[in-house]
Amino acid sequence: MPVKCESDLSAVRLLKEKDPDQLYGAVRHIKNRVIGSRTRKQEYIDVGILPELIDVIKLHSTPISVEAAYICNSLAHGDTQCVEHLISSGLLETLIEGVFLEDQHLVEACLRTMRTIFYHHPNLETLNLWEVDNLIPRLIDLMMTSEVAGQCCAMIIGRVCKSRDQQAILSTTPILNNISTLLLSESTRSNIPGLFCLSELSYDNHFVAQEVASNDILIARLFELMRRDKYVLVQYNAAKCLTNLFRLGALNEESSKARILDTIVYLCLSEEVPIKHIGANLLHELIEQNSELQLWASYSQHLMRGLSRFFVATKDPEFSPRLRAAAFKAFAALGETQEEIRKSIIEGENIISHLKFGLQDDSLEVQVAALSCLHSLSRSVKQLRTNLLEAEVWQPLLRLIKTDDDELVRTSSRTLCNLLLDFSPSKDILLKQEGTVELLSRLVLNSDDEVKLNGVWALMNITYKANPELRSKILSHFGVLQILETVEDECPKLKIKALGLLRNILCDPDEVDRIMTSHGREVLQTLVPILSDSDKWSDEEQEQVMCVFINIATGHIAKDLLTERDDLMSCLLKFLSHFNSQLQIAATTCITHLVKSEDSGCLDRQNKLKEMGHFKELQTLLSARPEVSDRAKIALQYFQ
Amino acid sequence: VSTQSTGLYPHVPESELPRSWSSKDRWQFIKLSRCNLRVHYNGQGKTHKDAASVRATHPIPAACGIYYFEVKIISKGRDGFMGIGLADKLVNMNRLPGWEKNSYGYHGDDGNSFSSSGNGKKYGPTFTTGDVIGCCVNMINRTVFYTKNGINLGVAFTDVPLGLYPTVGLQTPGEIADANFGDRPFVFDIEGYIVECKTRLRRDIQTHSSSAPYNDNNLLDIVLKKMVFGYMVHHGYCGAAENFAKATNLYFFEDIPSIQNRQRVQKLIMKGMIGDAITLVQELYPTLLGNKPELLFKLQIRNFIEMINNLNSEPQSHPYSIASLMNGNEDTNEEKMEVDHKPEPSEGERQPSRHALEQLLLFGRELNAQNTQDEDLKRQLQEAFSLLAYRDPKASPIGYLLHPNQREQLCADLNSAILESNGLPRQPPLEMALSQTKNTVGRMLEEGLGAAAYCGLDEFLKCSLRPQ
Repeated sequence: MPVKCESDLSAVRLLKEKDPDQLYGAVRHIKNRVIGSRTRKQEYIDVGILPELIDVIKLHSTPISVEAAYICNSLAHGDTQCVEHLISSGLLETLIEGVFLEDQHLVEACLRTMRTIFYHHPNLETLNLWEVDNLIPRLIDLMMTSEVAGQCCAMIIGRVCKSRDQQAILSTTPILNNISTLLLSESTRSNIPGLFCLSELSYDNHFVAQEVASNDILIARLFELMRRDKYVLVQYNAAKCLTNLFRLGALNEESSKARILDTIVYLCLSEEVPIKHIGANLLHELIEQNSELQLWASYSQHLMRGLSRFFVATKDPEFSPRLRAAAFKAFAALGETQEEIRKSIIEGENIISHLKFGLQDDSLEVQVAALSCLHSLSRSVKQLRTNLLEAEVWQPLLRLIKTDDDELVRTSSRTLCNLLLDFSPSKDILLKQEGTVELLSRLVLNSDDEVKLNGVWALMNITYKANPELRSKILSHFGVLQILETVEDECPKLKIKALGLLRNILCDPDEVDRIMTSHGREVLQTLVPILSDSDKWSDEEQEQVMCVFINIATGHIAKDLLTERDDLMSCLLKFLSHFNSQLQIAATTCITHLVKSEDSGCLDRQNKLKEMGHFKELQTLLSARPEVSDRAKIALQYFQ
Repeated sequence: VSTQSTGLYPHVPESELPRSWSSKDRWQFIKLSRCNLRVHYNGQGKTHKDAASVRATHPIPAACGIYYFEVKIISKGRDGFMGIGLADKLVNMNRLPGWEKNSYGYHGDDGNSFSSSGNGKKYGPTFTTGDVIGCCVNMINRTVFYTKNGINLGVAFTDVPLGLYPTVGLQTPGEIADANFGDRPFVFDIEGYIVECKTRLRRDIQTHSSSAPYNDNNLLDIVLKKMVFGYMVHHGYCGAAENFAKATNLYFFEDIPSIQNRQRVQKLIMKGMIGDAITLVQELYPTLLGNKPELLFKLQIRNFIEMINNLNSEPQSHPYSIASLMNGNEDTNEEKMEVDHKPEPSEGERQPSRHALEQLLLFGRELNAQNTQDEDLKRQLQEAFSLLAYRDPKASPIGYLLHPNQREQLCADLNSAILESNGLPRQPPLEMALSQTKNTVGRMLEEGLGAAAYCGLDEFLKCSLRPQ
């Protein structure tokens, strides 16, 4: 017969008791007191209940230890501070010990408490469950022991599965089988952790996606769980799993994507704020990089009008910014590829005015999302020339690019690149601003790869058709040697943009001669090896280098500098017979510039190229495809 | 031919559904082929005066709840001026759907929607050759939406009237379109949409607050408890009723022994021991059967049927006669009376005893001699007699009479009669409420309230009991 407790304090004192009845009475009393009361949870922790409770769990005696574990479960429902206390007292270690026991009741109690901790506090610094010997395999085994154990283990494993390696380890276990059991259950309580765990396992993981996709029963069940008669969070989690599979190309049936989209649109149009929020974020994941789904989404159920309503403030001040961010992200994905959709976003939904506010929102998340939306819209030539120009979006961009948040700088520099394209009228306005060139040159020095890339890209854009004054200004901030250094960077995209920048700089014969006089040696040293090593360098990179040489070949002094290099001339000869016609054309054009008769010394150069066999090779090209033979004809005309 | 649409509209007979375009109800420039499902334009197509439409054979029955059809554009012809939609019976067919009063359309060339007006409203994407356009009429909230290649384009029209016909209109040479009225699977997941509507409807019903005079929650609570309690008492669930009354502080308006007595009677009937049941009723409620001769006669007919049942399964039988019934039957061996679990005697193996047959015929003659004037009872008696004409009565067309479930109605009738004689309601209020609701839903369907299509009480109760 359990003993009744006089007061909370006496109950805590009784936890030290040896007598099982007294102890049982105490834990029952405390359990009934803490469930549902935040203040009492804190009070109990304050009087130092945790070490005592952990000792009681460690007795491993049913039902006393079970009740003690449930007290901890209730405490874990408290605020973050509460849970931090639990963890620093060593509760997790005790619970982990508990899950290795035989006693099913005690195991389940420990699992429930662990689940609560991991579910409510995913970002808490806890011990790494992967480092505990045999724990994950044990949890997977326990999944089949009871439905509750399955629910708890799925939630815990889903929470701690954070890397590709962990996904790989899990996918070799029977966990998918155990998850299927949860999904096939009629209980929402089982479906949600099962779906959650599956979505973590299948995220960006081809192997798991294929495993799931090849299981017809599982796929059919996922679609069933997405139906409207299911609890809305079940629908959401099922849609999330299917989105993962779809993104990896694992779903074959044509109709499946329309059904996933339909569910996500339904979630976006929900009246419940949290559902709208997760729905719009999932929409972004489903449709990004898929222009067909972007089109479908753009006309599905007046979705865009629904998303615009996200900008209207909600009653919950915590959620309003999250909704705005989700809407911007969804619009960014919608407008990613198609002009027609961008037009309806801007003209139909009046997004520009929302963007203006969004770019100076108090919330960082909103600013980043608004920027990515702006970036998406700035891919449109027409919008760059009209709405985006009128809205003077360059102003907030210049402000955001100077902040110290990586994500903001990344997204704003990306957008700035588009604004600086030649056909964008904002380009001239930006160049008239004090310090734009300095700003861009500083971006190149950034440690973040993408920011660096965007910096070079932007510089490339502004050097296109730049006047001598601007060119020298750019070179004074970002010199030829720095450009050459960037060409040798490991990132292929960065290389290409740096070569583009170099090509734009070397745009008229005087400039070419000036630069080749001062830096000719370095330029050749960097570029010629790229042409000679076809194994290491791609056709695209070699073609970019050839474009630079074509420009250099327009110079006067430069012509001889190039022709003197036998290694370079051998490369040109090699390219003349290359299977890639782009490289053939580039080599032919370069030779044309070198042998042009209006320049002094052209005869010497012609003779050299005749000797080395270029002339002969050009003659054989006369029978090549028209786009090559036409150019070969032009080059041959100059030979005397 | 089994069609997809039959599953979609369980409350509507196949013959009332639009299944093809009408060969009569069309403008002259419209030509039909492929079982009247393909529409061709064969007019001049110079101006909008050359527009031509066709209506389906039937208007959309409101009892469908949600109605859906699809049209595939086989060719957009010269300009693709095509409209898909709905029109009233009287709308001029020399027009595209949507231009006239009481007509609604979605047009391919501009993607606009037309609601009884020549001016379109921006609605969806344009459509052309190869596209499948669906039109869904929601008669629960009187809205219409379209689909393009399986994507729901959102609400196009609100407050549409009932009784509209599916219609398609064409305007330039070469335009061809195929309709799907449910003979083939749809591109759009209409079942999924119906599930959505049903779920929403169910939630609306569940969250609907009770109106006056029960707006006082307390009062409603008491009424509901009384109904549940009344149900238990009526059917004689004595222990449950007692506990329920205790837990809810309800007044017990019938004493326990009385409930137990009714339960005893019911048990006997359900076991097929009609004679014993009659004896017990005579004992407990001496005036009851005397006042209700037709009920007594029904019991006797049933007794006759049970005798036939026994004849085929029991080698040994009891003395049957009106007299013996009236005096009570001593045999209460329940095992022997369980007819439905015994294996069927194979033919020739076990012949009914001569004695039993004689008893049966004697009893039949006695019943006949009562010479009832009630037409219904006469018919019942004749049916019972005709069982004798069959070698294997169970396999005969009226074999169902022998099934134990036939005892239920009789049991309920007798129970009601006893309650009535004690001044209690014949039917428990809970059951009355149930059948009232069922009838109301049925009436609503007849009156064209679309929502009623998805308010089937049984389905509703089944779904509500499921945990969410």
